[in-house]
Amino acid sequence: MEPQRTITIEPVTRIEGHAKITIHLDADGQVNDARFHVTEFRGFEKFCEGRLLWEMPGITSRICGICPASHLIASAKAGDAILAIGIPETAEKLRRLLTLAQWTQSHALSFFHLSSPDLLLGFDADPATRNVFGLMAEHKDVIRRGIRLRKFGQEIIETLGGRRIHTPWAVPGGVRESLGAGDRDRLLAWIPEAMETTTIALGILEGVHAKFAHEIPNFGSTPSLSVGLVSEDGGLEYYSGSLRMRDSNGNTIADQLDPTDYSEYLGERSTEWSYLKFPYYKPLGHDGGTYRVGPLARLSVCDYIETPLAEAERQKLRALSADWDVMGNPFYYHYARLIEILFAIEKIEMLLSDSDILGEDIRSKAMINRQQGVGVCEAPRGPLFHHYHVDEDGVIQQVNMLIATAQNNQAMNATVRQLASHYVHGGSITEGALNRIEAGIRCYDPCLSCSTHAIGKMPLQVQLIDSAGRVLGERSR
Amino acid sequence: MARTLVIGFGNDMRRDDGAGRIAAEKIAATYDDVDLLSLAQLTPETAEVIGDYEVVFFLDASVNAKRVEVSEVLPRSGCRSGSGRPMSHTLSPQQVLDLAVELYGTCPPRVLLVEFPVSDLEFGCELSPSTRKMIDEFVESFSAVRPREGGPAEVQAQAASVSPSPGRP
Repeated sequence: MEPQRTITIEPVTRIEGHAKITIHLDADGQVNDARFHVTEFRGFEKFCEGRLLWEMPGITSRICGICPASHLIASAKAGDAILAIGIPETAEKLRRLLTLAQWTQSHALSFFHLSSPDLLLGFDADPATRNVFGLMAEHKDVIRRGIRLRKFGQEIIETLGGRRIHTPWAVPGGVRESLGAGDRDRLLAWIPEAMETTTIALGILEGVHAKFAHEIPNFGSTPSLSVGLVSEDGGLEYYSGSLRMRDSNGNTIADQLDPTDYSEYLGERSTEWSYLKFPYYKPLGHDGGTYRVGPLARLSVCDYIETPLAEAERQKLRALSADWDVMGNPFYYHYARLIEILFAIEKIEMLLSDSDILGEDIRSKAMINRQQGVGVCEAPRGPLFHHYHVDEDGVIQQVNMLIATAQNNQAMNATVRQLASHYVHGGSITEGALNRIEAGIRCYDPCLSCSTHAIGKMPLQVQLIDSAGRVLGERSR
Repeated sequence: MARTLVIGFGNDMRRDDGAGRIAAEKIAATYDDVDLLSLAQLTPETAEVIGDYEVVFFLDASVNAKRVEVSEVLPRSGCRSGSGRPMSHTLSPQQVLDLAVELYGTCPPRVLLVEFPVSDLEFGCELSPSTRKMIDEFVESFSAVRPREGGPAEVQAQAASVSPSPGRP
């Protein structure tokens, strides 16, 4: 029998972290399997043991330079649970503001800096210029606006936390600093520009959908659950609420799940070929329990969005297809991301216009009242769980973190398999195929530094390997 | 218009990798007319601000430098093809300058890159003694290294530990 062969793409570029893709071919040169390998490891959970609970928000925010604010919030909420206290109303509103600012800056980074080169220059453009620099010739204003939009989110984070990344501002019981009226007014003044930029981006994306209409179906709609937080009445939620699961036909299969009980219904499977675990919904097993999280999943599980402009766009997204196909196709993560930016800006304006936001009662204090606690919020890429066990003095005994990107792991692998099956034939990989497979991964905007708690680099390598494990070919950038 | 901006960047939790940030913070604390940006990494947002200054220093740690090295960063023409590598959110000083020129049409008259040698990149916030000493010497000699107001565009290196390098292409 002819040996099976494998193509490897390593590293995958314009994602957060270091990964490679292997494409396994059968004897006829057809794709037999494809895997998205995460090849970095750092191990935050282990070295947090022995630290004090109150240090955890500051420490865990260091997991990531893109979404430190999300780790900060999840960690502070785990601390709230261990102290067994409610936090002041102003503190919750400020934490919500920070979470939305995090969404804005991270989603803007994903759309304008990382994905727009694919979307605006095309998958067949020269990789040397398929980046922000390459966009400058024809899309200077888009880049400038994207930079400003991300800066808007960063500005809110810096205003609240004192710095743009790795702020230790949120703590168990609340937050450290309040918001002043001058800063509130300065941030409010930025809203119209942020809104205009997002509207322009939505218009651009509409053109992209038309341009790639023939390609978008190839990005696949592998059957998968969607999981996300929803409010009590089913609205889009990002800070509290319960988890809802819908299947690939849009049927709700689980609702009102308490996110702090996540370990009862979410399992994690390891493989020998990736440091990134494979979470799944336990009642349906490893394969049937595959689920997606993040912007598209959130818009799949919610019944509505509370802000008018974002809700109108959500309805447009749903109307793209009569069935549920659109909500299962990862290409539409880009659209969902922009809708969430729109929601974040609308909601930020609402929060900043609420007089409570300037309150001075921002922190509750208590001693250790429980020996474990779970904090959950919706990070830009999906639900983020921090689960701590402490001793009676608040010294951390055990940490488990379930990161959004890990929860997309099975779905990302399915997308890679689907794209590889469509574009790779005959035992060789073209530049265009390589680009499309990478772009499929970028739809999910994975943050591998977060999900493996690792230090990230972003090179790209592709290998072709036979069934005996021999590398038949390799490409790298 | 403010005259001088110092941008220190690096990971201040990997000891000497934070050399640029610590040096920049010390310079800004020492010289009243110097503005400071202390960053984990350079991003496209950095390009938006540098055009407001006449002199911009990028301060970084370098595993290749044997002593403190000062070099001039010059804008490149046709930087689309010169960017060289896939980019996400992290940039080199050269790329920041190229972005400033291309996107905003601004180019500070003088852009200098200062690289500090490193000997310890393990976890921690403390600098190695040798890197700390070089930072202190550089901060002390900063007024000599700094281009004088209206003065000629040349890198000055009067401190013994500072060696000028040719401008980067």
